[in-house]
Amino acid sequence: MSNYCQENIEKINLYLDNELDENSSKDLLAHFELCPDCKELYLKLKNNKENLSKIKITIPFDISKLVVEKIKKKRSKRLKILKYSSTAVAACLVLTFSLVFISNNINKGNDSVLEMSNDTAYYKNSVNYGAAPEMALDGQDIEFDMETDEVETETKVIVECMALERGDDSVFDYDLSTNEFTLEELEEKIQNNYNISDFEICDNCVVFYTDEKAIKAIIESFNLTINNIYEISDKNNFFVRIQITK
Amino acid sequence: MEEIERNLILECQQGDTEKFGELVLMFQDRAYAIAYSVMGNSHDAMDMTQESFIKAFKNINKFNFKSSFNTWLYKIVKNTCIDQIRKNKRKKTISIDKAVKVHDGEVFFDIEDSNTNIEEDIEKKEMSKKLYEKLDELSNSHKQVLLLCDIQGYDYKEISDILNLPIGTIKSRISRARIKLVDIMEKDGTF
Repeated sequence: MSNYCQENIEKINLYLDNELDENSSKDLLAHFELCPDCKELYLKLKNNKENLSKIKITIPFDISKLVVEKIKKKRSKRLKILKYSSTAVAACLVLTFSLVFISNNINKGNDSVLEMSNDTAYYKNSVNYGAAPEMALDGQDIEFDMETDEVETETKVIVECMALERGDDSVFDYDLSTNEFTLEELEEKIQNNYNISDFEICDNCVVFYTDEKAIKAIIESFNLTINNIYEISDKNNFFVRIQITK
Repeated sequence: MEEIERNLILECQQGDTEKFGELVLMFQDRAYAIAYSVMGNSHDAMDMTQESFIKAFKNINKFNFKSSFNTWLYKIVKNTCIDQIRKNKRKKTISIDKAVKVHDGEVFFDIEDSNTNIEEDIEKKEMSKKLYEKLDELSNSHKQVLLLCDIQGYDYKEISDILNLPIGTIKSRISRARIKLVDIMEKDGTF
C-alpha cells in the first residue's frame, strides 16, 4: 500500500462525502499538490465510491400485492385451534404475567380471584407455574397440566401488566395493560419486539429468547414479582417462559 | 419527507391496506437491499422483506414522523433479519449462498446506464460488479456502512440513526471500510 499520511485518512473521507469544512478542504487540496500518495488514495477512494454509487439493488419481483394480501388475511383470521408442542428447555428465567382467558372453562388453581363478572374471572399476581416434567422450580416438583393442549374455541387473553416502554428510539413499544388479545395477536406483539426471537407457543405457555437488557426492561416496566431467577452464563440469551393460567 | 409520502403514511395509519401497498412499492427495493446485505441470499432476503413490511404495517401507528420513514423501516428490516439469524443459529440452519452472486439472470442487481458510451458503460458495470463482490471480503460492520453510505446514499446522520451508533463511530467505520476495500482491490490487482 502507498505511503499516504495516516493522519489525513479521516479528512480525505470527509472531503469525499462533502462533510469537510471549507478551510480544511482548501488545506487538503493544497496537501494533495505536495503529497502524491494522499492524492492517489483520494482518487482510489473516489473511484470506488462512484462505482458503488452506480449500483442499484432491486428486489427480484414486486411483493406489494403479496404483502397486502397477507395483511388482509391476518386481519380476518380468527384463532380457532392452537396446536401445542412440548418443548424441552433449560429454565433460566421465569416471568409470570397475569393472564386471563375468557372462556367457559376456568381453572382457578391457587390464584386469588379479584372479581367475577358473568363469565369472566380476573386474576392478579398469579403464580401458577406449570413446568415441563424435567423442570423443577424452587425445589418443588410442578405438575404440568396437559389437559388443555388443544383449544377448540376462540380463546382471548387479557394481560394485566404495565406498558413496556423501550425509549424513544424503540419501534416496538406496546401496551398490554388494558387490551384484549387473541393468543395469535399476543404472539405477534411479542414477536414484534426487537429483542425477542424464537417465539413459540408450547403447552400452556409462551416461550422466547431475549437478552439481559430486554429482560431487565421487562421486569422493571411490568413491575413483576420474580419468584425464581436463574443465573445463566450467556447474558445475551435469556430464555423466557410466560405461563398461561387457565 | 415528501408530501406524497407523508399522505400515504397517514392513510396507512387509518388502516388503508391498499395505500400501504403503494408504500411497499416505494420502499421495497431499499428494504430488500438491506435484507440481502444481512441475510446473504436472495430467498431469505425476500422472506425478511415481506415479514418486515407486515410488521411495519402493524406498527404504522407508532411512526411519529420524527425520523424518515426509510430510517424507521430500515430498523425494522435490520431487527427482523437479526431475529431470523438467531433462530437459524439455534436451529443450525445455514444460508445456501453466502457470497453475493451477481448473475445476469437475477433481477436484484442493476447498474445505472449513462447512455453515453456503451463500451465505457460495460467496463464500469464490470467494475461495479467486481467491487460489490469484494464487499463480501469485508467484515459485516464495514460492509454494512458502505452499503448504506456508498450504495444506498445515506448521509452520516441517517446512518447514525439507522444503526443507532454515534456519528463519530460511523465516520471512522466508513473511513476504515473504504481503506480496507482499497487494500483488497490492490491485492486483487485491480488497482
